Amino acid sequence: MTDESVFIEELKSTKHRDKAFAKLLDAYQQRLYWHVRKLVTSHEDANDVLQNTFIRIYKGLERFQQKSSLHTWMYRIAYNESMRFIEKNKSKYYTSIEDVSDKYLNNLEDDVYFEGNEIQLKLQQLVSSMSEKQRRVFQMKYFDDLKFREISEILNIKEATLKSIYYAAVKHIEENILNS
Amino acid sequence: MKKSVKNISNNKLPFLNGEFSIEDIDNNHKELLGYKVPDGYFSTSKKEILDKVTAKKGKSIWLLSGNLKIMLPIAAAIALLITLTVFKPNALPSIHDIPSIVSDTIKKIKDNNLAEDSFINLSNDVSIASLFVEDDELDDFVDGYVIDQIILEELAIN
Repeated sequence: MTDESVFIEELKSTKHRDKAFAKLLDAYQQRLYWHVRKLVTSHEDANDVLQNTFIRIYKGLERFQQKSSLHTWMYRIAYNESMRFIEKNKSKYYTSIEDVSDKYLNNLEDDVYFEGNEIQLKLQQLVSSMSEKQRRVFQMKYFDDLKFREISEILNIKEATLKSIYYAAVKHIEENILNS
Repeated sequence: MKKSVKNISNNKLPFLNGEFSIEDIDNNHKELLGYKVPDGYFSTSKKEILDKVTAKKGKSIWLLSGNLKIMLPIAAAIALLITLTVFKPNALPSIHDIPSIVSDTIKKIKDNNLAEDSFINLSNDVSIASLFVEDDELDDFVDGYVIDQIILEELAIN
């Protein structure tokens, strides 16, 4: 039995679950927070989504069948919760495809917990100007340190497709930096 | 832009090591993207999450036992009915024969005096009244009477 399997058994058992869940929080709270934060932008919204995410994780532990790793499963829950939140608060995030980038930057600049300097804001602008798919893949690969295989399970996109999306995103940033 | 890459093992869950440590991911987001979090946020958030999952677990235990306002009087009625029918199937004792704790329970139900703070007292009375009934007799009665009569009626009303 692998270490992860043993840990999952602890998470599933009523006797050890709470202690094991606290360890899981220690390992994943910050990772999932940053993953969510990039998707929903503001700290307050990220906090709400993060709490919902961990409640879902806790409730889903008994039924977790280990078809994917614990790591990927949790990221997928976090991603889906973020998408659910964005869909529910549509008007805050976009009214049409064209104004996604503007809304993303507006939300960012309105957030009291964003204090980006010129370079950081420039990078945020470049990221926001990508297509939604490019942005998601780039954020997960570059900032969240997720492997293509893991991103493939989270987004349900083939690995080969992800790689081409990612390299297009990188190219987009390089060209924009060179042009400016 | 270069990200710093460290291979710091997470001593608590070593099998969950990524290439980047939590500190690296933290720094990436703060230094490259300009995000910040309130001081002490993660420890506060951890406590809130743990409190919420514990509260939800406690709530589900209560929910499993059903709505208190419905279930406690039903449980009291079951205890009384079993005492009257199963325990003494051929006799309908007078009110004087019924132990005082059961008669008190009947009185409370009749008076319909079910204020929130009386639930604890009522549940104690029910617990004591249930001592008069054998477990298997109670199980048979619940299966036969409660599910068919009381719960289905309740569902029909709601």
